[in-house]
Amino acid sequence: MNLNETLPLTVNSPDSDRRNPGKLLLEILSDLFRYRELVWLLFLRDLKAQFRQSLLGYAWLLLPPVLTTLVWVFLTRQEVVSFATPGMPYPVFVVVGTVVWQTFVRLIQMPLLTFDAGKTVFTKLRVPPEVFVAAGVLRAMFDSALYCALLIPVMWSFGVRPSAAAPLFALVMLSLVAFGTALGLMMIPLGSLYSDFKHGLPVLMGLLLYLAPVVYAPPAAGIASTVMRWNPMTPILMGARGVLVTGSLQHLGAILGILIASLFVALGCLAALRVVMPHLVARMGA
Amino acid sequence: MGDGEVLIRAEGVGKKFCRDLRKSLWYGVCDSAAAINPWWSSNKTVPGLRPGEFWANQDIDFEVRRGECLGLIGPNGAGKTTLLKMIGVLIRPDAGRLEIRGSVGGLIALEAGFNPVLSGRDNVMINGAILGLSRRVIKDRMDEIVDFAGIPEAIDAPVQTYSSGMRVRLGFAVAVCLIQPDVLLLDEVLAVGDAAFRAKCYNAVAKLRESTATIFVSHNMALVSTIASQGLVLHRGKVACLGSISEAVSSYESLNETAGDDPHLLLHDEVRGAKFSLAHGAEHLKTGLLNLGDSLRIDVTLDAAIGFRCVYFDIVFYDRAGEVVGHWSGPQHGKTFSVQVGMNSEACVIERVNLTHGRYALGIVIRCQDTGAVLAWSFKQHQVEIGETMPSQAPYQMQ
Repeated sequence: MNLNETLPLTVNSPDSDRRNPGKLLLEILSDLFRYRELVWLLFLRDLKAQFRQSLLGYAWLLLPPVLTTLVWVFLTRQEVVSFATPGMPYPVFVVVGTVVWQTFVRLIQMPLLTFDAGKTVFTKLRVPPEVFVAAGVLRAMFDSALYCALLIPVMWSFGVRPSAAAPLFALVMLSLVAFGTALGLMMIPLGSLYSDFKHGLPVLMGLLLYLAPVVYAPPAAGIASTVMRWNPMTPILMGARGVLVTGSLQHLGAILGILIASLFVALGCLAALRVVMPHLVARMGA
Repeated sequence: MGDGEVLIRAEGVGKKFCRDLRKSLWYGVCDSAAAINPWWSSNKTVPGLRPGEFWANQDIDFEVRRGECLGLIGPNGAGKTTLLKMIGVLIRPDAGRLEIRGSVGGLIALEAGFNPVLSGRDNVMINGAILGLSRRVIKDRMDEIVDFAGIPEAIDAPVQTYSSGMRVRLGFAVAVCLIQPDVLLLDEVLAVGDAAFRAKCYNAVAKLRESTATIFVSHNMALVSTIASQGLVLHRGKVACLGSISEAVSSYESLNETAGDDPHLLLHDEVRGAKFSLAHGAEHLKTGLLNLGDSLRIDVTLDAAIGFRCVYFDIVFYDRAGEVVGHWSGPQHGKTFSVQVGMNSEACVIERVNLTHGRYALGIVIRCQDTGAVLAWSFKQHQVEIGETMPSQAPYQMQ
C-alpha cells in the first residue's frame, strides 16, 4: 500500500520515552507555533472569564500590589518600622519591590494553575500541555504589565524622575519572567500529582517575601544579609530599582546570568514535562 | 473490507494500575523519574507488579484496518478506557507495543472543558482550536456546528444558562463536525441526548466510520452488533474473546451470566418464610416461556410473625447483561395488600409483559409502603423467556 508509507506511524511502547532531547525541544516549539491561536484564545478566555461575574472587575488585579504598598507606607509613616532606602523615597522603593515580587508570584503560580485547569482536556485528548502553560505565562505577563503601570503615578507623585537607564527595566523584567517561569515549570510534574504544592505555594511566597529585599533594603551583615546575597531575586529587585531610579547598573551582570541560566532550565523542564506527561496522565485521572 | 491497511496494531499490550491512591501517585513519581533519567536501564519491560498493583490490561493483541470497526466490550472496570487511552497515545503501555498509523481522533464531548461564563460560540472556538483547527476553519463551520447541536437561539448565551443536555450536544457537535481522523475512538458516545439527537449522531458517526479504523466502546449490545464488524471482549484486563461481533457479544453475555450475582432470597426479621411462583393465566409456568404481550402472574406465600399494612409487589426485569429493562410496581397500579400473622397468599398480575425476545431474570421485592421495610426479596431466582415475535417498538413499558 502506497498510502501506508505516507501516513505517519506512532509507536506507543514502554520505550517511547527515550528520545533525543534536542528533537524533543524542536517538537515542542513547533507544537507551540502550530497551536499559537489556541494559546491566544485560552489567554483571552481566562482573562474574559475571570472577572465577568465581578463588580470591580480588573481592579482586582491591581489590588494586591496596591495594598501591600499602602500597608508598608503606612507602617513607616507611623514609625512602627523604619527602613533606610538610599537614593529614593520609601514608597517608591516599596512599590517597585512589590511590583516585581507580585510578578514573580504570578509567574511561579500560573504554569501549575493552568496545567491543572487543562487536565480535563489532556487526559482525554492529545493536546500539547505546553499550550496551556504558555497561556498561563502570557497571563502572568499581562498582569505584570498592569502592575508596572502603577509605577508611573507613584514615581511622578514623589517627584522621582526615571534614570537614563530606565529602558533596561525591560531586560530586568525579561530575566524575571524567565526565572519565574522556570521555577513554575519545575513544579508541574510533582505539583500535578500532589496538591501540597498548590496549597503550600501561597504560604511559602508570603514567607519568602521577607527573605528578599522587597520592602526593605538588604542589611549589611548577619544571616539575613547572607541569605539575601545568595537569593537570585535580590539582583532582580535591586537591579530594577537601580535602572529605574538611581541609574545604577551594578546588578546587570547577575541579571543576565539569571536570564541565561533560567532559559536553559526552562527548556530542560519543558522537555522533561513532555517525557513524563504520559505517566502524569496515567495517575492524574480525569 | 479486509484488505484495507492496518491502522491499529496491538502486540502483547499491558498496563499496570494501582487502586491505592497514595501508592499510585508515588509510582507515578517513580515512573516519571525513570523516564527522564537517561542512565536508567531500558530493560524495564514487564517487571513484576509492585505492591498494590494489578494488570489493568494484559497480553492484548489485535489489528484494525481502515473501514473496519472493532467493538470493544466488557463489564465496567474491565480495562476498556485504559486501552483506548493507550491507543490515543495519552498513556504508555507497561508491556508490549501499539502501532498507530495516521491521526487519532476521539469523539469526546468536551463540554467538561467549557467555561460556563463564556458564550457557546466562544467555547466552540476554543474547543475547535483544541482539536487543532484554525480560527478561520472553525468560523466557516460554525453554522454547521450550531445546527447539529440544534441550539441556534442559545449559541450567544453563556454556557452556564444551558441545560446539561444542550451542553453535551454542543460539545459533541464540535467534535462531530470538526474531526477527520484515520483512527476513530468512540467511548460510549452514542448514549448522549434524546432519541432524535442520537439518531443524528449515529448518522454522523456512520459517515466518519467509512474511512477510518474505528474502535467502539459500548454496553449497548444491540448497538455494538449493528455498528461493529469485529468484537473484542475484555474481562479483568485480558482478552476473553476476539472474533466476529456476534461471537463477541455472546461471549460477553455468557461472561455476565457466570460472573453475575448469584440468585438469592432475603427475608425480613419478622418473616419466617416466602415462596414465589410464576403463572400465566391459570396455568403454572414451569418453563417460564411467554409470548410478547402475555400476562404474568406472580404468586407468593408468606409466613409472617407480625402483621404489615400497605404491602406491595415491586418487580424488576434484568436482561442477560444484568441491566434493568423493565419495572412494575404495585402502587402505580393501585395494588397494595395487608399481611396477617401466619400464612398469607397473595398474587400480582402484570397484564402485558412487553419485552423483546430473550431471557430475563426477575427481582421480586415485597415491600411495606409506610416504613419502606423489605419483607422478602427474591433476586434472580425466577426467569421468564419471551418467545420470538416481532420486536416491540416500546419494549420497556410494563402495563
